[in-house]
Amino acid sequence: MKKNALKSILCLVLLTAVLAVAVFGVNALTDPIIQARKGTLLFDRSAPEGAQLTVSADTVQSVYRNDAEEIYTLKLTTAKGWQSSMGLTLVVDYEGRIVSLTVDDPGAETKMGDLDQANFLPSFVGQDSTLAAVELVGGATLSSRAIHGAVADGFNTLIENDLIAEAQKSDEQLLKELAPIAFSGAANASRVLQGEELQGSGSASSGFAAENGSGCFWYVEQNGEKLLAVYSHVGGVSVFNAQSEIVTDAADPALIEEIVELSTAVIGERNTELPGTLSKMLPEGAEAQPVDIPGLTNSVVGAWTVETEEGTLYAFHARPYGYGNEPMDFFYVLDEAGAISAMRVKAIFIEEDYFPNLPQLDKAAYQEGYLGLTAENYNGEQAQITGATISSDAADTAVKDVFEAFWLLTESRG
Amino acid sequence: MKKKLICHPVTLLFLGVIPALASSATLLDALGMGLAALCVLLCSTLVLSLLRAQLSPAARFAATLITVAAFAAMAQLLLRAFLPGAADMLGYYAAILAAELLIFGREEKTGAALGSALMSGLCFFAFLLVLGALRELFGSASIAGAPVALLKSCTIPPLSKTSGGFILFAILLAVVNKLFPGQEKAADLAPADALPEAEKEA
Repeated sequence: MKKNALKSILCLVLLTAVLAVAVFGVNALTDPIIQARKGTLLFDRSAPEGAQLTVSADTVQSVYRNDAEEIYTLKLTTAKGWQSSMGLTLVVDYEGRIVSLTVDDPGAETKMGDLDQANFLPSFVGQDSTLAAVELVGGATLSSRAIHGAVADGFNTLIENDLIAEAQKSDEQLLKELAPIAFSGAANASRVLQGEELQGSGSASSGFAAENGSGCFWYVEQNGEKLLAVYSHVGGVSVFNAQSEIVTDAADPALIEEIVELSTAVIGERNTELPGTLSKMLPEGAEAQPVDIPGLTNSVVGAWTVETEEGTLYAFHARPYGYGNEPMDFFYVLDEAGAISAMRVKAIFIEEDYFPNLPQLDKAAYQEGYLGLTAENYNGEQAQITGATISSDAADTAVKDVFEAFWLLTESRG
Repeated sequence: MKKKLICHPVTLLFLGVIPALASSATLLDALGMGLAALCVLLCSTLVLSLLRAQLSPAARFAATLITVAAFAAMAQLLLRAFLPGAADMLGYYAAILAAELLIFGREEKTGAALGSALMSGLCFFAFLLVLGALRELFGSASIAGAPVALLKSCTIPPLSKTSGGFILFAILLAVVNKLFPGQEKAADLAPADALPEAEKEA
């Protein structure tokens, strides 16, 4: 018995020793290969001491350099997409082009199937820091924007530390990025254009019509210079160059005329009739006249001056994009001082049965809460409704756009 | 009581279920894990069957543990060096191979041990492949990473998560039990020397 036990113990010890040597041997064989593949650690957020890089973006977790393969490997954690953040691995070569982009950890995101369907991740391969060919995915905007943002942060980290050269964006790309900013009426709160693409003609190579009826924009060329021409039903034509400067005054009048003709041919003339809802908000006998507000490019689709016995009022109709990227209708009447004297909203979040789990919203109280607000004392609080964030953001956009329209209108009139 | 606990089918099954479920969210993950498990199982079975005669019953379980863990560690290192894609895919579940394979240990002569290890490993591999394929197909509307457009509109996302994996695992178990009734009891599957001799004879 004792002999058997001793033999077993010796066997176990021998087995352990042999296996330990074997594991040690395999480790010795594979460690150089693993380390070479990993490369040199330049930055690790979990161990910032000894970092060789300055990293400002929170999305960058680690950066490795691999001289054998001439690549940089970055581990990224995106900002929150639709449901959660995601873990990415970005590989960029020394020329500053993306070799691969993979999602290591999708977190709780449910839109990965949509991204796969649209070949979103493969679209990054071969791109430089401009990410010119990468388009956000409709229906997965937040997820794709989160990934896009993290990759951009990765590139910025490499550029800021002089590891790669920054690629120069073409004028076309600069104008493409400018479009949702210059014509905010065509984009939602995430700056994603909502509407349909248009075929160009003449000086316009292509265009885009806003879904909410605020207008359209065109990519045009004048004397070899690429420009963005925005047509707003209320604001007329505004022209921007690739440096984001407004160059309307310097634009050829013939070009302006061409853009107006092209735009009205495609999206129709402006509807100047006062909406029924606005009519009911005005005093009896008030006379409303449609007005133009040059330079306006936001979500305001209609503007009128209203002469009453008490003085002049200003009526506006705004259509920002809300939940599901659907346009929401907001109506405002402002007095001569720019204070809101009446407000109505035809928006689904007001309907009691839309959000059954929310406390019932007092529609009248919500609308009355806007009365007396001006651009100076409006702080965004009145627009907010708990549980209806996207719609609340649209309401906030509407009132700010109306205040901008009022300012432009009164400034232009002196 | 201890015998009943150790040899209870549910207890033994769950040693292998949890890491198997974690690494079978997609067909490729299941393929990687299944192949790694098969290789580790065969190598460790070979070593253990050669040492069988030299070890007392009480020492065999410890030897099984050491051997399987060592081979699992070597498999993980080799994957990280030569198949980094597969290693990234498996993550730390490659290390949990050690826990999975403990339940497959058999103490027989070398030839018979290798034969039964191969059969057990292949069955485990096949089960994992079917589980991985079904989870990926109906959870993500894809197979081996290639999208399946037909199923895009009727995916069941929870199948890609652990909870859905458990449900699908239970369904597959029911199907297997129905197709192959009267299977061996769990006590026969456990390493015969997992218990001290005195308790076995009791």
